[in-house]
Amino acid sequence: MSTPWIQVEDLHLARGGRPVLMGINAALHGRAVGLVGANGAGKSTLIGAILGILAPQKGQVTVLGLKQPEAALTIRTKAGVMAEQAGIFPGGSGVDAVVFAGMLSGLSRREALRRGHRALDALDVGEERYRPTAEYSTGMRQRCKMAMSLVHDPEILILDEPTVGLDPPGRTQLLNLIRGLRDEGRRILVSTHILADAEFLCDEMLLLDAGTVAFCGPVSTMLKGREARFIASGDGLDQALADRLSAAGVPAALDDKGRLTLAAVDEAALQRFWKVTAESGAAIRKLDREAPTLEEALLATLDAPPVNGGAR
Amino acid sequence: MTPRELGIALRSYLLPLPRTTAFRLSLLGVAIVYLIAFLIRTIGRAPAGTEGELSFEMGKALLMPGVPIFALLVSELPLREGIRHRTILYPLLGPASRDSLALVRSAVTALLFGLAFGIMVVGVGWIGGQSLTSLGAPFLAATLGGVAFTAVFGFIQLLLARGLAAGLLWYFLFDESIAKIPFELCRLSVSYHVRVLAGMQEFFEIPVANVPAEHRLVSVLVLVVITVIALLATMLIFRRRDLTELC
Repeated sequence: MSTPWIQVEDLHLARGGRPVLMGINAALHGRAVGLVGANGAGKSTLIGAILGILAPQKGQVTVLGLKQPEAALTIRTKAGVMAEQAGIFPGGSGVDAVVFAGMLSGLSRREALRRGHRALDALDVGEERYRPTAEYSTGMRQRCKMAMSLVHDPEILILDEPTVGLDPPGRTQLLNLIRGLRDEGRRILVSTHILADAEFLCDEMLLLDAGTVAFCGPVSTMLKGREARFIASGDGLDQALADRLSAAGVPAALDDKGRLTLAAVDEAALQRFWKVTAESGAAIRKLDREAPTLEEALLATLDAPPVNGGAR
Repeated sequence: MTPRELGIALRSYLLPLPRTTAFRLSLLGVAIVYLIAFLIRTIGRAPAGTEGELSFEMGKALLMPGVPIFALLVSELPLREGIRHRTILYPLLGPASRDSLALVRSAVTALLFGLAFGIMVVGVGWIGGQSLTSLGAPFLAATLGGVAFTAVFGFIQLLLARGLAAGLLWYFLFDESIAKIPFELCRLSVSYHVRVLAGMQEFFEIPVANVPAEHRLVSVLVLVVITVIALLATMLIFRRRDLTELC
């Protein structure tokens, strides 16, 4: 297996005396990793620890093989951060903010200006880049922050709620851009509440639950064992038929719309389904296959009992 | 702390500084002070021949308590304002250490505004008709006092969330009060040393008094030492501070 680009070992971190992270162990290998969990699960705190802004009481964080806090300055030159909480350069225009971010990372003004315009171009920010940031809409602010995180051409990106507050077209545009950055070879850690975003972007998940790791690994592993469901609709579908199907080894449930949901169905079970429905006189007009969603997989993982070291 | 780090810390502070509200309010304050001094001199209602004295009194008030109050207002600029508005997150994520950020931002603020206070006091005195040679002492007092007060208030602002109120309380209840106690104790006060440099000491009138001898050079050294201690304390506090407000 490849070396993880972020490795967290036995991380304990308390804020204001309250433990927030309790023995986090995670090795991130994926090109894009989704950091997900409920409010208060510890996502922002973990990002703070990864960036070296918050000091853990115990444990170790390694980024690109470099240890925090000893190599904090080197890590920062290699990371681009889009922080949900961060304020933008006060009083200036969008291009000022991006140039400022570039100069903070050590670029000369001329180089920061050149790269800043390139980053803003990539984000489809036109003449608006010359307007004061105070007048920006949420979408423009997010795009400006994204450009600020990209201006020094970082190896890794850490994005905290990048699509929050965006309208659907803006969200789609930003997601496509992030996906493009991922496909260019950048490693991305994206913290989000929106599971659809995580599903669209990420090939690996780090699921936090009340300061512990509920799951860490590839999305495919999370979805493994969660087979597709079939939804049958038509005439003559009732509870009696659902019971007969279940008795025949085809687990079926009738929903409030009069449809039958068939779980864990393989080819043989599907043949039994057709046989039983034909015998009962029901007429199946439509049979849809539904792939398992990440949301269902995450909820199922959260319901699972914990195993060792806080991970499930 | 490498020169590159210090350079980045300096740029990260100075570039956005002119666009901050506190900086603009400070400029406005300076302009208003100059305008008042100018009006007193030209079309003021002061009796003929007393304009110069009035300007002199104004210069004294500008020095104490003007300098400490101005210093308190600008002392949130280096770190506290950035924490409150979360704009300090970007400098923190750049390749400059916390030590260099805290030291550069605090020292630059103290020097910049200390010098500005000195120039302001001289400007007002000059508009009031005083000769520039007689304004050396007020200039030194305002500049060094401004530097020391800004450094001390910067430390208080970083240490306490309500640094503005705490700074006011410290100044009026502690510093300014003990500066007027006619015993050696007054040497612990920043205000006392500023007053010594400006030649405007005031003491409470009490029967048993033992006013200490004044040494301008000692006061200069004390103000410099207070500034250095305050800057180093700010650096240490910022190094250890868990910036939970930013995450």
